[in-house]
Amino acid sequence: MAWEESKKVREILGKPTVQSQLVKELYGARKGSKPVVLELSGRRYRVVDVQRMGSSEAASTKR
Amino acid sequence: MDLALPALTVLVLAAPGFTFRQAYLRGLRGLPVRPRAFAEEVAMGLLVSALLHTIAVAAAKYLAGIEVDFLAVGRLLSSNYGSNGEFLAPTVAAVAGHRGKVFGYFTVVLAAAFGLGVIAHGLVRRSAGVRDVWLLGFRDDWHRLLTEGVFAQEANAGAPVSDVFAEVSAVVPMGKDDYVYRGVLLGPQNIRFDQNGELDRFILTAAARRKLSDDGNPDEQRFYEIKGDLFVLRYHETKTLNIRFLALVEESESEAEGAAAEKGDPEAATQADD
Repeated sequence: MAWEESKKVREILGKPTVQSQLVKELYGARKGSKPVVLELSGRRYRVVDVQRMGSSEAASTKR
Repeated sequence: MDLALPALTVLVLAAPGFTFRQAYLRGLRGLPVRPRAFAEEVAMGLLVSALLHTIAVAAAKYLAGIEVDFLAVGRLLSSNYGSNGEFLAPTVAAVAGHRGKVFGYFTVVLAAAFGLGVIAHGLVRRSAGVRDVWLLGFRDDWHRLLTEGVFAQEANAGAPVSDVFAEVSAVVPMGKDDYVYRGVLLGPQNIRFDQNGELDRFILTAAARRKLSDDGNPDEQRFYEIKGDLFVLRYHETKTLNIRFLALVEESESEAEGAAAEKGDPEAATQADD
């Protein structure tokens, strides 16, 4: 499977507030930091490392 | 004319082979590929052309009853029209007298070459084993690495992963210092390749930077946001490059409820209940 553009990713990560959160929490994360959770329109999205995700998490990206 | 006409004839005869090769290597979406040596590509193009013409000539004879005048083709290629030019008129008549058929033949062969190339591209691209054979490879190393190679981890996840983005980090020397630039790559369409299939640049959002030498200082704020909508990171200006593929996983209602309770936010917990 090839990497394809995701509309959801573009919509969520395109928000300036989310981008600031990424810089603070994702880029600044150290070992053992809490996972980054982005909130948009009442929904919560956890940022997960693709290489380390399990099958249930992979399936839930399809929700 | 002595030089130009044989050259033109070779070009026209070889065109289906080169059309096939381009369609095979790049597909419909224009895969960024690293070109082979000129002589190698010409040899492959001529070989494919010969094969396509062999099939097309046989098909034209059996399906449409069209016979190719190989003698006229030979004369055009060798530019040999007899000592007194006595074969020039018959050769010209062989082409001009059947220009509709000649045009139709090349149109069909070129279209078939393009179609077959695109189909072969699609089939080979789906099969990693065949694609790794030297002769059949697309030479799209960078494109494959960045857009396909990493997704071998599907084996780990056990299911296809969607909503993927990448965190790109690069060390860029500026003056006496090295800076770490980091940004988000929203999708593969934000990766640009040059005409040789080499990685050229990334178009990033949420860009930030810090000095590499600040790594050892635990009190230092790690990254400073670069204000702007898009940040262009040129690969040739980087010393090292790191890419981490991430995915957005939507939390279920129970997970959101648990997180709200952990924060001690009853309102959010109620919203999650709703």
